[in-house]
Order: sequence, then structure tokens, then C-alpha cells
Amino acid sequence: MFLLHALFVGLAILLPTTVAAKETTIWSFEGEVIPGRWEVVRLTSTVRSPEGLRIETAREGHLTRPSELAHGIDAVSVTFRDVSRPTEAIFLWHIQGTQEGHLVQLPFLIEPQRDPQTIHLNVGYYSQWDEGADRIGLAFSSGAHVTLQRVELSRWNIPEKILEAWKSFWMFDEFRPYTINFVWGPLLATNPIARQYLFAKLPPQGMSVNWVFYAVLTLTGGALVLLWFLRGQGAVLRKRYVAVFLSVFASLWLTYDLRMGLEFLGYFANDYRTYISQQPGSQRAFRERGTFYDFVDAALPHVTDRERYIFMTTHRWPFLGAIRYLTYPALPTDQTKVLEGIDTWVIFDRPDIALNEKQQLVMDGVILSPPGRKVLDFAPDSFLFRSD
Amino acid sequence: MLLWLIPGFALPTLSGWLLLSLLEGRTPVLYRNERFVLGFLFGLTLTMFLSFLTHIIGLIGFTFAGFAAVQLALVLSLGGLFLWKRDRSPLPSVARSAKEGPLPDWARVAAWVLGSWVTLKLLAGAIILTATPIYQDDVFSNWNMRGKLFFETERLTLTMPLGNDAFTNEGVSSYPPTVPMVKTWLATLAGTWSDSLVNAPHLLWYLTLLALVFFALRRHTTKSDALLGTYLLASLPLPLIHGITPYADVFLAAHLFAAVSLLFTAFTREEPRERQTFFRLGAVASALLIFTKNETLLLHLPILLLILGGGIVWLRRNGKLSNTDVIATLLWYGGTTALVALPWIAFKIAHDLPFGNAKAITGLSIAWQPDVAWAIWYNTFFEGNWNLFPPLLIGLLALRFRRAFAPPFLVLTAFLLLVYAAQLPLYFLTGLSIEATNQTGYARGLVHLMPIAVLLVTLLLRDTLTQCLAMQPSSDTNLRSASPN
Repeated sequence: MFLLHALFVGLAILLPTTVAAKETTIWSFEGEVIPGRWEVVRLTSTVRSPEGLRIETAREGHLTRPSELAHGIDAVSVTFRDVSRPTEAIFLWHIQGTQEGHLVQLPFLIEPQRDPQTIHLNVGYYSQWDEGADRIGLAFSSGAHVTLQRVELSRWNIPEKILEAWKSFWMFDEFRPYTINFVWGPLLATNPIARQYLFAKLPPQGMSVNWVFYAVLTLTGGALVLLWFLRGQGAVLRKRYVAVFLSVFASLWLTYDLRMGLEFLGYFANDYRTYISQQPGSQRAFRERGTFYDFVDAALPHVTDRERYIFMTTHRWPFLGAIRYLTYPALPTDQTKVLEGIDTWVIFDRPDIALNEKQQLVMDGVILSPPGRKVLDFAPDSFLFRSD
Repeated sequence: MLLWLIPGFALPTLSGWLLLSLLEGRTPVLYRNERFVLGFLFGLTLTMFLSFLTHIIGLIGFTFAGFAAVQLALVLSLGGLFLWKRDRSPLPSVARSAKEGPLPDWARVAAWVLGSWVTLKLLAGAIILTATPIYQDDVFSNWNMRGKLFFETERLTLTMPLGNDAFTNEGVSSYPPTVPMVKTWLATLAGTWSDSLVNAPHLLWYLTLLALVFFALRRHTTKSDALLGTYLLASLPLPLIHGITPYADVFLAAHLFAAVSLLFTAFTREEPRERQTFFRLGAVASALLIFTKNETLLLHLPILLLILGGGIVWLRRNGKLSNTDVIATLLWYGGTTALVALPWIAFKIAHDLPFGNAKAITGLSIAWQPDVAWAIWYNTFFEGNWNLFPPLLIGLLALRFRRAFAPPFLVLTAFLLLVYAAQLPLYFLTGLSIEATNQTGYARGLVHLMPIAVLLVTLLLRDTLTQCLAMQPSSDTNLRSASPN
């Protein structure tokens, strides 16, 4: 009877919000009509075209419009195309009641790309976000050449948010360098955009599930204490209350363990799929370090007979320390030591370094080495070179 | 390649077993399997310490012959002593748990399910540890790098190559060389450097830690409680990750747990000979603790000795410790600690190696560090490192305040709180704050303490259940009688 009652109450609460599902407002710049009254400030050129609003500017500027929305906003998606260079842009909003012209800024980067690209902004994550922001806009840095196709403003209802939170609870981080120091743990995201990028951007944009678990424990404990005072304090009741609280705690602990244990098994599954099960030497990718370890394995026979070799890569950390360990007692050094007679060059992930017609190593037109030959051609950007 | 672990650990484990048997003498207090596990832990560290000593006085190099000679000499010495003692007195038997019936069906099912779950994770972790390349910074900058350095140079080389023709004597060379030396020994045995082989001991140390927690709990409470406590520790995500990573924090944690739990047990024993045996075991554990990581000498050991001193005063006042016992205990702790600490400190001073956690603590400027409080708060309570353990610990300390802050539980509570509190000024007031704000060091400090905290929580939980549910009390009569309320 109690369950039936609870079901009815639950349906009565959830039904109206379920009917009113995700709400989205789209401002499309494709076609003939510009959506709404846009105010353009300092942008050099804004031209309407069938593909969208073509924006080209020699100086920093922005365009904004009153939001005039019938619903709140959890996330914003902005679609661009025909982007000729990496462009810094800013999503702008005005908080109701604050000083006119004072706009809050959320920067983002637009990659150079001819085809349409959509950038999703989980604005609801930021404490400065105002769901009822009365003015919204975009700013562009000087030199921007982009076509703005559409702006999509979305709002999800409570059941959808709960569902997304449940799904995000089961989303796992990967094994990363920081994993030895801490793990983020289960996080809650309340819309698909936030969930999609949960562990992709650091720090992750999600709420720790511990808040929810602590709330459950507090409410359970509070309710039991209340019952303790209201319904008497006999030994039987005391046992029952303690048992209930410990059961709730144990359930939460086991759920947490299951979640974190699955993440841990996910580390293994990922390593197994991408590295362990692959043939050695087949250019296996290991976590975010790609083919580095297979490359070093392939390079080892060529460096172990040398005291020192020149090592060039994109980032000093972690590659310099790792290769130092892996090839020790042969030690890596930098290219300035070429004058000291070092003849072996280990080049990893450097597409800007190649051999010229005289078989010299060249970087951005600058000759690095005497003539020689590749003794290991691992990949176009990763090889081992030995000077004559 | 991993089969080299068996000959690699045989003699050190035998040494440890013999040492423990000798320390127990005619009062066996350890379980049969516990003596084996603790023997593995202590034997390896003792062997490496003696190898270090004989190396720095020029008797051996870090070669197969050098390591093997020390191990053989140790086994022969301890074995001879053991046989001589055995002829004079009966063989040491083993401690036995209080008789208890089989686990109820639901507990058996739960133990199987959770045990299988933990085993699955450990198997996955074992594969990650031994079948993937070195990944974390301190592996290729410290623990494995130094092991390889010793292996290639066949000596305790303190000059670390940094790459790009830079070298340093500072930083990680100040750490005790035990973990790298274990790796060097295994590599000399195998004749080649293999990351799989030299990484494997780290998982064994994690398993050792789990086993030690089980045995320590088993001494004080029921089998189901001991299994529960072991599961609690095994289900903490960050310690598990350390269990499958070639860092030295679990290695330290195992030694620290041994030292503190043996001291704690000593305070729970009513029978004087048992108590003295636990003091002797605790003294050796405390001494070996020094040779694990730098923070033990400055942080853990002083607090451990402070609690020991307070505990001895308390026992003496309660008439449980004779003057002879007091002197014997102080001599054991003082003597064993000095045997390890003095050569190690002298070596550090002689080679100008800093004290502190790879960074010298001298010369740190004092200034309030913003953001530390939030970083600590978030790391402790809102990340996935510890499951729901922090509120469980705090809740039980609050609920069972009078038990937790009275002997013998006070040994565990005081150690945890003092060690934790002693670190806070470093984070709040010095440049070491980045260890908290960047989350690079704070949680590792908790990894060291977690097994002790699990021991305390499990015992307090049992105590709470006994009190609230009028369940079967702890199987440890000493623990009950030694507690005032």
C-alpha cells in the first residue's frame, strides 16, 4: 500500500516535467534572416551569406543580442565553418541586475576547419552563469575569419537531468599521470554536453557524487534520530535504527566500490586493448604517450653502444626522463652537443625535422647535422639518424 | 622472468622468519602465516640494510655475489642461533585464534563475492604492473632509475643523470636505497634489467599489507571482522593504485602498519611475556621503518616513540610493567632504532644528503599559503581516493569518543591524528603547499596512514555494534579488559 502511494506521488511530481522535455532555442544565421536584433561592436566586417554570418575583423570586437528566451539555459552550442586559422573567441552574457555593459566572459578556441564545427559550452557549470541572462553574445580576437552558422541554447528538465546524472555516475576517467596522486571519482553531470566532456577537460566539469552520498547519510541519520525521539528509545528500536543506518552506509560503500572498481578494470581493459594485446613493434599506442615506448624499443639497439645521443621531441616531460631511464647507461642530450662528436640523433614526434637532399637533418630551414642516414625509420616524424 | 622472484625472495624471507622466531622466543604471538608474511617484509628490508652497510664499508659490491653473500651470511647466522636456541628450549609454536564457529551462510557468501571482486581487481592490477611500460614520473626518475643505476654501476651511486648532460647529487638520492636495491638484487639474479621483474615486488608489498591488516585484526576480533577490515582497505581506490604502481608508499605503509599495530597490540596484552614479545617485534619494525622512506625518520618515528613513551608511563602507573620490563623495552627500541638510524644518518651527513622528503626541510620560508585548506578539504572528502572512509572514521571517532581517546585505542588514534596534524603546518605555512594544492603529496601521506586507520575503524565499528546491538563481543579478552569503558 505504501509503495502504491509512493508511486502515485512520484508520478504526480514527475509527470508535468516529463511532458515538458528538453527545450532548445536555435538562432540560425543560415539563409536570409538574421535571428533577432544583434548589436555589433568594433568588428571590422559582418556579412550575411547562405552559409551563415561571415565575420572578419582586424581588431577585437563582439556581437550581442537580448536573450528574450522563454526558458533557462544549461548549455550553449555554437557552430562555425570556414575557419581559416586558430581563433580565440569568447562567449558573453550579462547577469540580470548588474551594471549595463558589464559582460561575463567564457573564452574558447575555434580550430581552423572548413567544414562546420560545433563548440559546446557547459555554461551551467560556472557559478557566474545566470540562467536568465538578459543579453548574450560572442566576441572574437583580432584576425578572426569565421562563419557563424548557428547558436543553440538548451535546457533540460529534471527527469532528463537525473538520467544524465545517473549515466555520468558510470562514466570513467582513464589512467593518467595524476592517477598516482588522486582520482576524481564519480562525478555528476546534468546534461549530455557536460557528460560528453566530463573527463576530457581538466578539472572535470561535474559535481562530486560524494555530496549526494553525504546528503543521503545525513537525511537517513537525521530521520532515524527523529524517530528515536518520537517513537521511543527501546533496545529493539535502537537495534533496528542502527541496522538501517549501517545498511544504508554499506549500500553506498558497495556502490562506490563497484563504480571505482569498474573504473580500475577500465584502466586494464584500455591498456589491454590498445597495448598489451597488440603485437610488439606494431606501433602500439600506450595511453596518452602514443607510440613512444615502441619507438624506444626499436631505437634501443642503435643507442646502447653509444655513451650519449641527441634526443629531440615535442615536450621535455615526460619523454626526456623516460628515455633516460629506458636507454641508460646511454644518456640523452640536446642538439648543441653535436659539436662534441655525437653522431646519433633520436627524433620522436617531430614532423618539423626531416632530411634534406644532402642527407642532413633540417628543422625550419636550419641545418642541424652533418650528412648521414636514417638507421631507423619508425614513422615519418619519428626516426633515428646517424651522421657519417 | 617473474619466476626469479622465488629465488630472489627465498633467503630474505627465511631470514625474516628466523628473526621473528628468535624475537618471539618461547612466547609465540604471531600466526603461522603471519610470521611468513612479516618475515618476507622484514627479511627483505633487513637484508638490504645489511647489504647497504657492508657495501659502504667496502666489503661487497652490488653484484650477485655481493648480495648473495650477505643473504647467506644472515641466514646462516640467524639459522645457527635459531638451532642453538631450539636445542635449549622447545620449538616456537604459533599463536592461535580464539575458537569460533564457522561463518554464517550470509557472511560466507559475502566473503566469497567481495573476495572474488578484490581478486579480480588484483589480477587486472598485476597485469598492468608487469605488462605495461613504466609510466609515472617517480618510477623513471627515482625508484626504478636508481635501481638501474646501482645495477649498471654495481655500487650505491648517488649521482643521478638528469639528461642533457646534467647530473645531481640532490633530491631523490637522499631517499633510503632499499626499494631500488631490491630491484638491483632481482636484476643481478636474472642477469638483466627487466621492468616486469623489478616492478613485481610492489604488488607483493600491497598483498603483504592486506595480509598484515587481516592478521592484526584477527588478533583482536572475529574472523568476519578481520575480513571486513581487509575488504575496507582493499576497496580504497588510491591505495589500490599504489599497490600496482612501482612507488614506495605501500612499502612504507606496510612497515608503518607493522610498527604501529605491534605497538598497539603490546598495550592490549595482559600477559607480561606476550606484551614484551610484541614490544620486541614492534621495536624491530620501528627500526626497519627508518630504512623505507625519508618521512619516517622525521615524522613517523618521533611520534611513534612519543606514544611509546606515554604508553610505558601509563602501563607503569597501572602496575602492568615492572622496572625491568621498562628498561628492556626502552633498550629494545633505543638499540634497534640506533642500529639503523645512526649509520643511515651518518651516511646522509657524510654525503651531504638532505633530510626531508627529497626536498630539504631546512631553509623553508614561512608564509601563509592560500588555497591549501580547500585543496585538502576537497581531496579528503570529495574525490574518489577513499570511498566514504573519511566520514566513517570521523563519525566513529565522534560516536565512540571515550573509547577512541583512551588506552589502548589511543595508541592508534593519537598516532593518526598527530602524524596528520604534524604535516599540516608544512602545507599551510611553507612552499611545500604545492604538494597539497597540486595534489602531488598530500594524499600519498594518507596512503601511509590508511591501514592504521582501517584497523582503528574496524575495531571501533565492532565496539559500536557490540554496544548498540548487543552482539557477540570482541574475541580479544585483552582488548576488552584493557579498555576502561
